[in-house]
Amino acid sequence: MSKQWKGLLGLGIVAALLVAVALVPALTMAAGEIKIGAVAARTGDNAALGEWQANGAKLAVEEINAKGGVLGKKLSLVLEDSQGVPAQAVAVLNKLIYRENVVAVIGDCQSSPVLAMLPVIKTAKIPLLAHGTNPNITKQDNPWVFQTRANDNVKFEALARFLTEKMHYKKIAVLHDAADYGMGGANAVKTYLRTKNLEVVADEQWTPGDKDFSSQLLKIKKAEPEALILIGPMVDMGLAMKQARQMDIKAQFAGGAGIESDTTLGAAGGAGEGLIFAAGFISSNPDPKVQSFVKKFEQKYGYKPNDFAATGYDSIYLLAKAMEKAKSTNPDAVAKALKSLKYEGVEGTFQFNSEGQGLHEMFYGKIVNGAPVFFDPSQK
Amino acid sequence: MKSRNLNRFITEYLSYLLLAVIMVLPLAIHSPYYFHIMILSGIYSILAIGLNIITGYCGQINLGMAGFYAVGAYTSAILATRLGLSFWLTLPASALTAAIAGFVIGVPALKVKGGVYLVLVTVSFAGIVRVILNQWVSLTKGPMGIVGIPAPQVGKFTFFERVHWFYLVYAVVLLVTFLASRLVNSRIGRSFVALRESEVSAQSIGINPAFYKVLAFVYSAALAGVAGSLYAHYMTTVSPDVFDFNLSVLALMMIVVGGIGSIPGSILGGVALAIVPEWLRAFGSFQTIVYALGVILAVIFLPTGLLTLGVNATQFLASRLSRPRAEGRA
Amino acid sequence: MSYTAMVVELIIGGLAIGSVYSLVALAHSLIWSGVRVVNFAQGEVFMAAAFTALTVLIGGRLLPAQPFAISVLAGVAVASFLGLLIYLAIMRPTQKKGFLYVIAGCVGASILLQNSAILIWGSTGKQFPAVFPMAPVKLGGILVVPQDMWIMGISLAAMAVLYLFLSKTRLGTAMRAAAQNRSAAGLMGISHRLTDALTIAVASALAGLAGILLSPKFYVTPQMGTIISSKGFTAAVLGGFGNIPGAVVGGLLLGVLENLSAGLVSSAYKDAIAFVVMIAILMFRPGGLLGSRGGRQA
Repeated sequence: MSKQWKGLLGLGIVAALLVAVALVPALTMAAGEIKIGAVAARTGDNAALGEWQANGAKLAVEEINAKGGVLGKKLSLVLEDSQGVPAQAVAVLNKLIYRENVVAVIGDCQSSPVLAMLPVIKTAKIPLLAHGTNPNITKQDNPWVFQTRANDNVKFEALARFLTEKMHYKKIAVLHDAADYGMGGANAVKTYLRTKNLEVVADEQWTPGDKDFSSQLLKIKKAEPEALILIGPMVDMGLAMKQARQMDIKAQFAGGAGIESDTTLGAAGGAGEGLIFAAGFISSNPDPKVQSFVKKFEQKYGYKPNDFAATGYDSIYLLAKAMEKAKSTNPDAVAKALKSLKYEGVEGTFQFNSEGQGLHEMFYGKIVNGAPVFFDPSQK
Repeated sequence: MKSRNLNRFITEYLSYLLLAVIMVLPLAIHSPYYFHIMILSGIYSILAIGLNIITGYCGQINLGMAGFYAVGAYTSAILATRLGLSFWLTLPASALTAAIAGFVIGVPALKVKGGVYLVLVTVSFAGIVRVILNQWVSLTKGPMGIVGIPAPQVGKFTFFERVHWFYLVYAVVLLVTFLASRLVNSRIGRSFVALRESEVSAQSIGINPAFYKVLAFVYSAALAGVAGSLYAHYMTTVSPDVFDFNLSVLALMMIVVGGIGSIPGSILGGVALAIVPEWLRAFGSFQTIVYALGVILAVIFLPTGLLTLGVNATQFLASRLSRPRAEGRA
Repeated sequence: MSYTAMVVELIIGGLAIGSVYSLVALAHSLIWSGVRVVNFAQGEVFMAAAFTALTVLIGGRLLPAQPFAISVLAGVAVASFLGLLIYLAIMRPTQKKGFLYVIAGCVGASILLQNSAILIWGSTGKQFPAVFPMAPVKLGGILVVPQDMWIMGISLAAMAVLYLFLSKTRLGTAMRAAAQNRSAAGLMGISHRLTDALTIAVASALAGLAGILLSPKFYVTPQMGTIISSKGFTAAVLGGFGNIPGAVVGGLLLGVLENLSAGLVSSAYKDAIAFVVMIAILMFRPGGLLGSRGGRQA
């Protein structure tokens, strides 16, 4: 085959690829629908987050549409993939706003894409229901952002308060990943403890992707903590607990939302027994609203929802309620309505403050016989 | 004679033609979505030109471009938010700090023997940069990232609209293209190529390998720093997770797809790898798989990138047209 | 717990994870010495073997649950097949064009395989049943997890088998001959197509075995191969790329180095310390620890 023929073959392949792309039918939306955009990583390393978020949101859209939609119109969800990369998140956000003409956007599930999206929504004047938990998200003086998960400060302050005041622990250690969630959470724990004149007895971390924590755990073991707080991705927290028990660390385990998930408990292989957690959404919360959501979700998707699914679900309901309250889908009116809305969701009671933070309280639970058991809030 | 003209065209003028075509695009496109993609294309192009100088021209594999890009982005972010320096100062400062990083890694890179060892050294460098960005919280704010990086200003005019950014980025791309084209067509550029082809014969004609290799590292790092600075000011936020291994690989893909050892090829590759993934969104959850298949097919079938493909096809068509009854080929 | 006991436990932990790095490093070095190419999608071979073994072990509608040994064989077979496929489809066509094309092609393959795994097995990952005893045992004041000992033991056994195969069998000798001098081996009637394919298959099997061994300790996820494969590559380079004993030494050294820097210095800077030490070693031994000084360029 001569060079030129090879070149033409290559050109043909490129052309065929382009034609294939053009032939993929574009999803056309019926007129009179209210479009809501959802941004999250749907492929790549963090694809699980996007799947959970989308499944929660889809369930809410189905339920709302089955009851006749909002303001007489059906809701429609436009899913976009950011791969968890900030520049990609900005690209799909622009696509949603200017090409799909969505009235509001939910997502991204990670904080750094959300932070990059903020200037865009400020210019476009579109409400964003953010699922990242970095406290900085609501500190940018941006009236269009609404954080629908408890931020890391709220969550880990609550956990540290519970461990020190309710459980009376003095020697607390932290093991976390060197990423946004882990570093932010560890920082919140340390800041809270300092107000009680306490210091963490060990503060160890792992690089995202590491699965062997033996060296960190040895140092923690040497510090002999009464409680060990774990902060990181679900699988990693489970592995860390399993390895800690193998190394004969007897400390009480504790963590934030996600640590009570089947994923973490599965990876922990029994080591998760007795752990204490603080979370907005807990699937064993006896609240009938939560139980009905958990039942429907499990029926539809075959697994229990976690807080990413719950926040996807709540976000759609929040938007629907706000539109009904505003009697309009105008983004400005929707944002105003969100600000004054009080809504009982599956994650707890939403009431957005002036910065856009929606959840202010945490539920507590404990793993008993391998399943999360909910602490009665009146006890705390 | 004719082919020499063509060569000159491909190595020098084609870049400007490409950029001219891109720069009239705002007449046709209006959506901020397209502007964002084109702005990313421009930033990617600078990164690709930088990588092509060290890897394409000088033959030194560099899988640590994310590290230099990060040094540039964080230099701008820190200087702009902490000291309130304007973009016109942070941009050259970013080029400078990244160049210093290029020197720091270029010197040990001289020592090691060949491809895989260079891969390890450059990947390790980017890894060290990421650890520092994550851990030196008092300077970099750690994984939480730096937010609120201000937009560039000239007098009272602020580069805020997408179209302003578009022209700002492509003005920088034009400048970088000019400088890089000058470099590669100069004595220095020819020395790079001589080193790539054979270090021994290059030495025999008086080329000092150490000097030119470090120079190539410094030059390409500085360009990555410029790209990083633009990224930081454009996105207004930086965080360590942006600058991961995938980004270094993306830069490599740009030059492999666009054309190794070619400035217009770098621009083509940068633009292609910003635009194509957007087209592929139509494939939904299969988009990444289709993208990966596309990369594999491109690597196997494109002779040496899109650029040569275009050139070959043009030459082929031209020869067919001028000699319609050419004898059959074996 | 005494300081010495802690250091000993750190070293044992480092050797346990390091033996797995060694297996992956061996896979890299074997391929390089025989075929002069690098499989940058090695991590996905590792991952595919783990998922296959898990699927066979648990069983399903088509196939009842199988014992662990059978699932290991199935996983290793899939790893070999996948390695050969990547070699024939990507590495061989791009090898002539240059190293950069090999890297880009393999990275493409690794993205493809990871995302295919997400579609097949889901993005969250799966728990591998415990096949080795996990309850810790105390040996003279030192806490040892039997699971780690099993992982280390099986890795070392696999390396010993590889050594015997390479030195005592005709095929192994042919592989070594082709690795040393392709054309001379060809003159002796050794088909390099056969030895190339064999080298790739054996190396991929090693990577697959590493994946299956780590699965009960870790979780099986589509991304599980990325880190281990880069650690394996690092270990191979550190030991001298293409050098078989070097790969084993490099892997164990890297495991111990990481554990000691995390345990004795700082877990925050563990990776940075490992990177700096590696660059420093390469300054003094540019061809890696056991690499020849004047050897061929890698």
